[in-house]
Amino acid sequence: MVYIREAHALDGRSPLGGGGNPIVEDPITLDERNEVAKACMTKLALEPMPTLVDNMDDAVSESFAAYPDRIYLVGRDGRIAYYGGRGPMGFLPDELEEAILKELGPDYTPRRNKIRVNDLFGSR
Amino acid sequence: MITRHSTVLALFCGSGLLLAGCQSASTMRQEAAYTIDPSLASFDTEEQYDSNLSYLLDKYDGDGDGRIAQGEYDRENDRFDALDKDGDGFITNEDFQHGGGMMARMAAMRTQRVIAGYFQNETEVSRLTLDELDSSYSDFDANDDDIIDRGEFADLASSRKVELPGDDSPMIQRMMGDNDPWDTILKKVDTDEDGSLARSELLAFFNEHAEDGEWTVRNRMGRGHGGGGGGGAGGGGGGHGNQQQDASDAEPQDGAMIGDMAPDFTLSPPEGGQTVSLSSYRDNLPVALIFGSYT
Repeated sequence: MVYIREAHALDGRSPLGGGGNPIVEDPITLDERNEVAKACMTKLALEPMPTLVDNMDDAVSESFAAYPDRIYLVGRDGRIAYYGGRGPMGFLPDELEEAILKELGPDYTPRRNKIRVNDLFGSR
Repeated sequence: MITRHSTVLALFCGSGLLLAGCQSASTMRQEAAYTIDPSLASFDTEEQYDSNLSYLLDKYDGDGDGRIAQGEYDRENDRFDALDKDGDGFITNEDFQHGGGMMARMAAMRTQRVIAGYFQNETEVSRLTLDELDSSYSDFDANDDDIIDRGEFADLASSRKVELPGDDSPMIQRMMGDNDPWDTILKKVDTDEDGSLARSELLAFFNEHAEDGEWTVRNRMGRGHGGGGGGGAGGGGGGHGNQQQDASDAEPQDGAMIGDMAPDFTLSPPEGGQTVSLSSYRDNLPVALIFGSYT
């Protein structure tokens, strides 16, 4: 996951919160953003998923037109193999799954357990 | 958070267990490099706040007077201004009373679509004027008493069953459920809560949401109905014909396109530590990028 600008911070454009929903103030510093990203991973039980945090200039989010949610698949050749629609409407994991299978190709032979997430992201 | 939360759940419900299956490419159908269990998601600490205001008061209202003065708020000024919607120098209950929340806007938007669907005797729902609504009201109001009751609504509604664009979207269904149209309308429009729809109530609701005297009925968030032709983003590149995305808002305008080299980036994990560059996977592994936020 690439954690980007909060979509529904209470001091943002589309506040949403309370009534059991998380309440988040829009982070101002990267430290704050990292904290919210950690809460996101913890509270949504996403910790197993490797996560990176966009910088406060939102440069990565902008270069992928990612806000507020979007899915990409980058192929082995480093090119965009799939992008989803703008989230949340366009956030369709089934499409990603299809794209992953396509990227792997019909002749793909699983390499069981050769690569682990920890190898990719260092020790977590 | 509703959108984020459900999005994330959709992510994992939708594709089975894993997403980064492609990172550990071995795992796609065999065995996940890691698994996510959405049932473990928990918002316990936030649940003690029933509203954004109670959260803010708890955090910033040092003198406990039920409002937050600029001096009590130790964040950037523009954030204060954004929260102090009426500009009276304090963040108060009133600043949260304008239906400005996204849920309220979504609910109002959906009510508009339902009303337009039934009170406009056309198959294509796109816009509605006050005159159209008023004359359609008379059609429903069989006994001309300026009140539509459930029975009168049902009598005509059955013959006017209109397909509401966008209602089949999973998000709308999650947020709104499949509410009875009469209940949906009453919830927002029946201000005296007498269980019927007075002409004045309906026209007042219309005017509250009208722009230039009419409604443009939106079929999806942020888009007018049938707008179609926006931005010639030009079909997502050759060779990847399995994309079935409806132009305008699906295309990442100004973003990366299919077949383009993915813009490289180098970012850190939230706990700090070693940075990761997208390009370090090139010629090795495909990478799924899931962009999103907490709320």
